[in-house]
Amino acid sequence: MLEVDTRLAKNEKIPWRLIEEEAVLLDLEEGEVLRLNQVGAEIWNAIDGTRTVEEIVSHICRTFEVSHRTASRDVRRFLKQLLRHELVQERLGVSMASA
Amino acid sequence: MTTVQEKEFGRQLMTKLDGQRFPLSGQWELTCRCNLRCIMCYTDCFNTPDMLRRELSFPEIVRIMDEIQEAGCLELTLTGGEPLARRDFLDIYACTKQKGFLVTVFTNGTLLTEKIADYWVQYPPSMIEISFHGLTEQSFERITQGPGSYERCLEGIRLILRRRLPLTLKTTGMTLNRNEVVRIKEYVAALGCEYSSKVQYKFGSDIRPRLDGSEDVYEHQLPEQDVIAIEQADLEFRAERGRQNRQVIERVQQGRSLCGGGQHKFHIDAYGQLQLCSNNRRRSYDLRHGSFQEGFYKALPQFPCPARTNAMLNVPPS
Repeated sequence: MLEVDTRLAKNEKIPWRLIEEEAVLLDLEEGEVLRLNQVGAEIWNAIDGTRTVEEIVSHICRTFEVSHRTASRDVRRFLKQLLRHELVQERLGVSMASA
Repeated sequence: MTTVQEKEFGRQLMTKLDGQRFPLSGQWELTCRCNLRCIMCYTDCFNTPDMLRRELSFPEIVRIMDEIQEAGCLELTLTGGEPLARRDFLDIYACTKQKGFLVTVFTNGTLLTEKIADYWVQYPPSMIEISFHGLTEQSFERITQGPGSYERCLEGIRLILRRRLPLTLKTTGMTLNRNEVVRIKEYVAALGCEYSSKVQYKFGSDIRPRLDGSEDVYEHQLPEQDVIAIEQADLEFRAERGRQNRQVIERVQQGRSLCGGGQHKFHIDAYGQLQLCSNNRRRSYDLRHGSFQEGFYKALPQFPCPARTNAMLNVPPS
């Protein structure tokens, strides 16, 4: 489970861009492009190495007017996906339980 | 999260952006500084202390890069002069990676170091393009006018190949190297085999007036029949020429501009001037005093472009 105070940073090997409310991430090794919908793009954009998981959840609550419980579940699920694909990395010096 | 193949994504994106102005791809001439003095170089005339002092500083570059990122630009080509001749090159490069750009670096290869190559392993560019204009030390250095540059360039190429980084070598065909081009291509293929790495090769014959307007460079330009002879001598060159011709015809038939300058592409020179493309600097928008957003969407569409006129008239460019 991701800790609330975990900070994540984008993997700098991955080129990405927000294009018309969608985030596109280029996996050059696999020759693939990952496309994130509007919510995914908002989460991706919020991952800056300084915000905690809890701060990202709050940001999503405010932006999309959803309950904290729903946002927390969806954000965590999405972050785990990003971690699994090594698109984000845990910010050094910050603890994280097994995701 | 959905996944598509790169080519398919490219098609989808271009369909989505069809007819829309969007700054997807930019070329940035970081400096006119260079350690070589290639005879056909169009930027070398500004490789002077006075002009170098006027170039963008690192903080200015970062500020402009922020604006480009915010505008949605994905692809950035860093060029020069010799971009690696900037002392802060790695800082600039690191910045492009932090901001998520897909980066190509154009270099002469002679200033590559272990440190830069190792950094590129950690944060790889999508392509490194090294100019390679001569097959022998003599012919190479007759063009670069830099003693020792041949061996330094080869060492730079080896640094890249040993690390299996993406590499393209490219040659500008000129009167001085016309008899070497096909053999250079063969040499490049052999290099790739030696290092078990695919090395791409590009041949071009484009010679441009120098940035100060002088046209003495044209004395090195290949006559058209020589360009054709080189292209006909190699199967891949022939195929590439055919592909480019088909692309031109298709664009003209569709009434589209022959280049993406100002539509999906842009160029920034060493002084922060935003232009339609590297080959068209008739007018500029000063990014030191204005925003990228305004420059790209308001200024560039007003700038003259012969390719645009030709497309509208439905005739091929001369």
